[in-house]
Amino acid sequence: MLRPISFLIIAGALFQSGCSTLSVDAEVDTRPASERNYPNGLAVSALSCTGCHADTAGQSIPSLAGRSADQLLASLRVYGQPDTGTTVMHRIARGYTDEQLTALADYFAEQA
Amino acid sequence: MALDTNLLSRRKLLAAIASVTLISASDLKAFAQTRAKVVVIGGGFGGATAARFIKSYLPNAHVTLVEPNPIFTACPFSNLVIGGQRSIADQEFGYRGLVGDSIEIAQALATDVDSQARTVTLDNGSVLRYDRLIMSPGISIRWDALEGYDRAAAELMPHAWKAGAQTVLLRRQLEAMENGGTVVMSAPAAPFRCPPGPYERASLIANYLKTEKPASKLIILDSKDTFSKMPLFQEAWAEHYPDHLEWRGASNDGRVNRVAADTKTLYTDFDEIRADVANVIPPQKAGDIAERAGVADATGWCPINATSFESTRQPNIHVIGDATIANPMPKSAFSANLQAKVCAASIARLLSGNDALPTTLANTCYSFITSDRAVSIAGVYRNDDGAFSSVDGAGGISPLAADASIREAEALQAEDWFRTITSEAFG
Ligand SMILES: Cc1cc2nc3c(=O)[nH]c(=O)nc-3n(C[C@H](O)[C@H](O)[C@H](O)COP(=O)(O)OP(=O)(O)OC[C@H]3O[C@@H](n4cnc5c(N)ncnc54)[C@H](O)[C@@H]3O)c2cc1C
Repeated sequence: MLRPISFLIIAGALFQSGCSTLSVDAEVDTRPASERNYPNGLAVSALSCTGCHADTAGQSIPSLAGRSADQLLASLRVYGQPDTGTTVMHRIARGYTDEQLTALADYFAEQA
Repeated sequence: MALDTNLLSRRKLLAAIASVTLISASDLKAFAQTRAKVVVIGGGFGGATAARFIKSYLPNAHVTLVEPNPIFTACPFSNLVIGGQRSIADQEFGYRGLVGDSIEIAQALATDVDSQARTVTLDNGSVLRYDRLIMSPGISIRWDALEGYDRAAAELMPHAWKAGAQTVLLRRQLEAMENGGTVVMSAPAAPFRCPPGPYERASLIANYLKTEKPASKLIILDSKDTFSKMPLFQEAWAEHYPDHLEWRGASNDGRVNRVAADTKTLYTDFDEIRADVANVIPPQKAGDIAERAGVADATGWCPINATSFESTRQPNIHVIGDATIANPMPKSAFSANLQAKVCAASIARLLSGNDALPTTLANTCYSFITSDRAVSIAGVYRNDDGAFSSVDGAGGISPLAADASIREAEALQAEDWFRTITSEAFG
């Protein structure tokens, strides 16, 4: 069975832990898990990452799932700095706010 | 948390709910909605991905994928087959993974769509009902757009813009050509599938000529004056193929307006060029079924609401991938796969009585410039209020004048990307 992205757990955890909001990408999902049969906004924005980043690391593209949120966020912030770096990640990370990068780092850290 | 666990607990919960008499209206609604019928037309990068993600978001939905071919042959990396680095078998993917996900495969061509009755008719006579239809039919060649270029001509001057027999034909023609021969490629005006694709192919053909047939040359006749990753390609061509590749833009009489397949001649306004091997990349449009379904407009492509991917012309039909008008997102496998996932999420939300959510989307396309070096372009987009836009300050191409190590690193990343995207689509 496909395991794309687990989408049931994130919004609650994120907001309880007092993280900043993710503009329109985030929403508080107060329904019980049994009724949530669709992904929330954060899970949807994480879909851009999984076309390259698989569950297991490739020869040069690392996997994101299960790495610590701090470690992921630190990398994303380095990528996001203006006018540095040569990889696609530098060019991509600049398109995200710090709030969005934080939420994505937390999200992938939750994907065991 | 693994999806399987979620599924299991949801099923248990539903069973528990059903076993007591007190069932709330919202529980019933959620239960019924997941039984929705979703039909997907096209088992390529968009369609196969969409079917799998619909099934994972709505495990109880009945998902049918309509695709006439038992094996899908991928276009990305097919230029490496033409260049001699890869075999066509490395491009082939079956649908066993989808069957394993309990997706029904209808091995047939969709011949009609009735958006009022919500039915899809197949060439084997069967009729499928849907609550939501996803169309990812890719491209069709415009056989009427370039004088002299019809289906018979394509057997002599292959387009190789749909991977498979055409790819192998072009490779064989290059292998059979004598040292000293002239290869001519014609590149179309935008929009077309894979904007950097012709130039990656040109690089890899030039690489083959330089190493195996050094007295030969490739001429690109282009209907445009600018193209994707142009500075990077031009830099690579000057460095690697100064004697083996010549590019002629539209203002330099590069636009091909007629071909003669029997003599392998390409005609521009003022010139005629005879080829030993000709690769004609013709004008394109959305896959034919799009017009039949009424989702294509006068341009031949499909306008959509960018947030939900629903057609602006027909209700309950969502269109993704190359067939759509989604610029600034390019017509790439990366885009098709991502649009499929976001569309699946939107449909899951819509069927649960929620609105589709706007989000941030990214795209990355790698192109090989030699057998082991690649360059890239990336973009970041939003799909707020039903329209796509680029995020300012993000995206762009690989640095110019970069070390070989940077180009080699991007070639390795390209290989990882191909592996990941095909496993997301086909399992
Ligand atoms: C040479 C080349 C190189 C490329 N390289 C890259 C690259 O490096 N990176 C990248 O991201 N993209 C690349 N692309 C682009 C990529 O191939 C397309 O963007 C991608 O395939 C689009 O996906 P799709 O689902 O829209 O169409 P497709 O993948 O073409 O799938 C369409 C499917 O629909 C089926 N179909 C059509 N009509 C019907 C019908 N009536 N009934 C049932 N089924 C039907 C077809 O059989 C096909 O299987 C390249 C393309 C080319 C030509």
